[in-house]
Amino acid sequence: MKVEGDAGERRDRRGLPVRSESFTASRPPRWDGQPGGCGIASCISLHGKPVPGDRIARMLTIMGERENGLGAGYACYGLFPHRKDQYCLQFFFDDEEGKHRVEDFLGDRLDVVHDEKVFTRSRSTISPPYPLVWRYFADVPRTREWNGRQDLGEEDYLVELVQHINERVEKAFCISSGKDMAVFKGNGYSYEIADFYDLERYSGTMWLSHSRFPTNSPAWWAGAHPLSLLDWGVCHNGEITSYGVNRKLVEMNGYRCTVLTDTEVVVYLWDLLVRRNRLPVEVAAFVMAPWTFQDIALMPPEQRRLAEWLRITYREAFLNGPFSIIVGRSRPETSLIALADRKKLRPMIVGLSPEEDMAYCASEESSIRIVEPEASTWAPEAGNPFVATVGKGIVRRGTENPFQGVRT
Amino acid sequence: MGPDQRPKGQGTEEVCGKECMTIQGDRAVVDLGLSKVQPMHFTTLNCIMRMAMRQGCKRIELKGVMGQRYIASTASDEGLYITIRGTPGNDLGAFLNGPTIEVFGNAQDMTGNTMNSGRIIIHGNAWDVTGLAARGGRILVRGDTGYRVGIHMKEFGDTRPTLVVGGTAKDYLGEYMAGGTILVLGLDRTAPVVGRSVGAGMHGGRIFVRGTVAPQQLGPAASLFPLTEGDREEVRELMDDFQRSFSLEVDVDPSQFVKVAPSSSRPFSGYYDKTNI
Repeated sequence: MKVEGDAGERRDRRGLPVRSESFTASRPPRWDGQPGGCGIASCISLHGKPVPGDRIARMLTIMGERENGLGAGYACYGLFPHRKDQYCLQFFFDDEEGKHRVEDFLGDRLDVVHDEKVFTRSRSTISPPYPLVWRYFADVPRTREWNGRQDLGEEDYLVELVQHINERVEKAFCISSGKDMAVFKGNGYSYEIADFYDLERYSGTMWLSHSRFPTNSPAWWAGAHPLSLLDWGVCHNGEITSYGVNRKLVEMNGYRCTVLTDTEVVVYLWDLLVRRNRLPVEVAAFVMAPWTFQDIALMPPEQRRLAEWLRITYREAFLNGPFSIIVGRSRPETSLIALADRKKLRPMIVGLSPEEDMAYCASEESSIRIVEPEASTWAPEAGNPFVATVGKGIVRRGTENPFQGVRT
Repeated sequence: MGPDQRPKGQGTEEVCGKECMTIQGDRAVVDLGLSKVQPMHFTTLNCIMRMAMRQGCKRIELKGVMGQRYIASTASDEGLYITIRGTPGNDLGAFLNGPTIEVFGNAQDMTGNTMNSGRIIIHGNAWDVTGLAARGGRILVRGDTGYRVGIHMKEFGDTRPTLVVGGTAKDYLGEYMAGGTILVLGLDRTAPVVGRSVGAGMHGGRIFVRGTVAPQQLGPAASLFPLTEGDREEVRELMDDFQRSFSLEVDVDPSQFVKVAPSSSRPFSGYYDKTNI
C-alpha cells in the first residue's frame, strides 16, 4: 500500500512540510533491489589525442550493476581547443526565468564572449522534467569587485560568483566552471545520460564518468557526479563519514556547500589544498588518506617530519570512510588523479594500453577491458594516488613511497 | 513486482540468450560475443549455464566474458568443469559447491565468496576480497591479490578452505580468520609479499608467508610461529597442487616460510566479557 504524504497536514518539528511517500508491503517503484555501489570510470590520452565520447560511455555502462538510475554523469577535458583560454560556465536552469536571473547577475561581472544551448534530446526515457542546459564562455574582467574587495584573483573571483549563484540565484545551478572542460550529467542511468547529451558528438583528451547508487543523499540533476568547481572534476564512489569535519574546514575557507552530497567537500578540498595552498598532488593525497601514526613512526626521519606535520596541519582535511575517487583538472596540464581510501574499502583498477598511449581507471577491470582488451592492469595501493598527465604519461603508478619525488 | 518493474536483464528461460550456446555431448560452449544483447547480463548467462547443467553437461566453456557477476554461483555438480576466457565479474563462484572453475585472465573482487567446496583456479590476478568467508574448497591464484583476502575464512571438522596466492597480497590478509589455510608464495615479487594488519582479529586457521613478516605487519591477535612438521607437509601439498595447476616449477623450500596464527582462540574475549569465563 502506498500513502501520499499530505504536505498540508504533516509537518516536522521545525514546521517544515513532510513530503515523504510511505510504502508498506509494496516495494517503492523503480527500486530494483540489486546490490550496488557507485561505478566510476575514466580515460586519458597520454599524447593528447581526442577520445570520442562513446568510448567512456561504453566503459561506464558495462558496470550496470553499480547504478540504480538515480544519477550519472561525464566530464570532458580538452573539449574546446578553440576556446581553451576562456572559462566555460555550464548551467542547469529550471526554465527561462532562471536563465534571465543568471544573465542579469553576470551582467558586467563577467565578459561573456559567447553563449550557446547545450544539445540535449527533447525525448528520453528519463522521467521529466529536464533542465535547460546552457553554456557561457567568459573572460574575467581586469577590474572586478566582489563584496567590496577588488584584490581577488581571477579564480577566487570566479569561485565567489559560482557559489553565489548556486546558493542564492533561484532556478539556476552552475555545474561546471573550468577552462577547456564541461560536465554532462543528470538523474538517470549512465546510458540514458550519454544518449540525452548525445556524447558521441564530443571528443576530448580526458573523460571522467560516474554512475550513481545514492545511499544517503537525494537524487537530483545538479547533485549527480562529476561535481566540479573551476577546472576540478570529482567522481566519487563511497561515503565520506568525516563530512561534518571536512565541511567545517572548507566553510572556514570560504566555500559554501550547496549540492547536498558529501562529495562536494572533496572538490573544495582539492581546490583548497592544491590550487590555493599549492601542495603537490601526492602530498594533497596523503593529507586526504594519510598513513596511521604507527606507520608514520616507521618512516625515515625526514619523511616522518613531513607526514606528522601534514597530519597535524590538515587534520580536518582527512577523509574518513570508504571511498575511491577520480579527480580531473585541466591546468597546468590535463591530469587524472585516482585515489582510494587508506584501507581500500572501495575498488579501483588502472590500466595502460599496449601502445602506452591511453591510461584508464575504473571501479572494475571489465570496464577497462571492454575498450582495451589487451591492457595491462594493476591496482594502486590504498591511499596512494595514481597520476597520469597529458604529455607526460604516467607520473605515478600508485605503488611508490608517499613522498617520492617531493622535496622536503 | 509487476512485469514493467522487473530488474533489467532478468529473463525467463524462453527468452534468454540460447543463441550463444552450442552443446556437443556433455560439452557446452557459450560464446558471449554472439549474444543479441551486448554485453550479456549475468542473469542471462547463469540461466544458460543452468540449462546446460540440467542437460547433463560436464564441461562448460565460456568465451568473451566481460564483467558478468555471480558466474556459477551456487553450482553444485561435483564433476562439472567450467573454463572462463575474458574477465569474470565480482562474486565469481559465490557459494560454489563442488565444481571446478578455471579462469584464463584476471578475476575481479570477491572471488569464491562463501564457497563451500570445489576449486577456483585463476591464471591471472584476483583482486580485492578473494575467498571471503570461504567454508571449504580451494582457490589458486597464479598472480597477485588485493586487500582483505581470505577475510573470515572458517573450517569445521574435515572441511577446510585453502587459498594459494602465487604473487603477493595486500593489507588485512586473513582478517577475522576462523579457520582454513592461506599460502602466499611471493613469486616474481616486486612488492612486499604481504601488507599490513596480517591476520587482524584472527582466532583460527593459519597463514603461511614466504620470506619474512615484520612484527609491525601483524594485526592484533595474530602472532608468528615456527612451522611444525604437519605445517611443512601442508605447505608441500599446497605447492605441489599449485605447480600442477599452473604447470610450473616452483623452487621453494618449506623452510623459507613463516606461519601467522592466532595468539589465542579468543583474542577479544577481554573486550566484551569482563568475567572472562
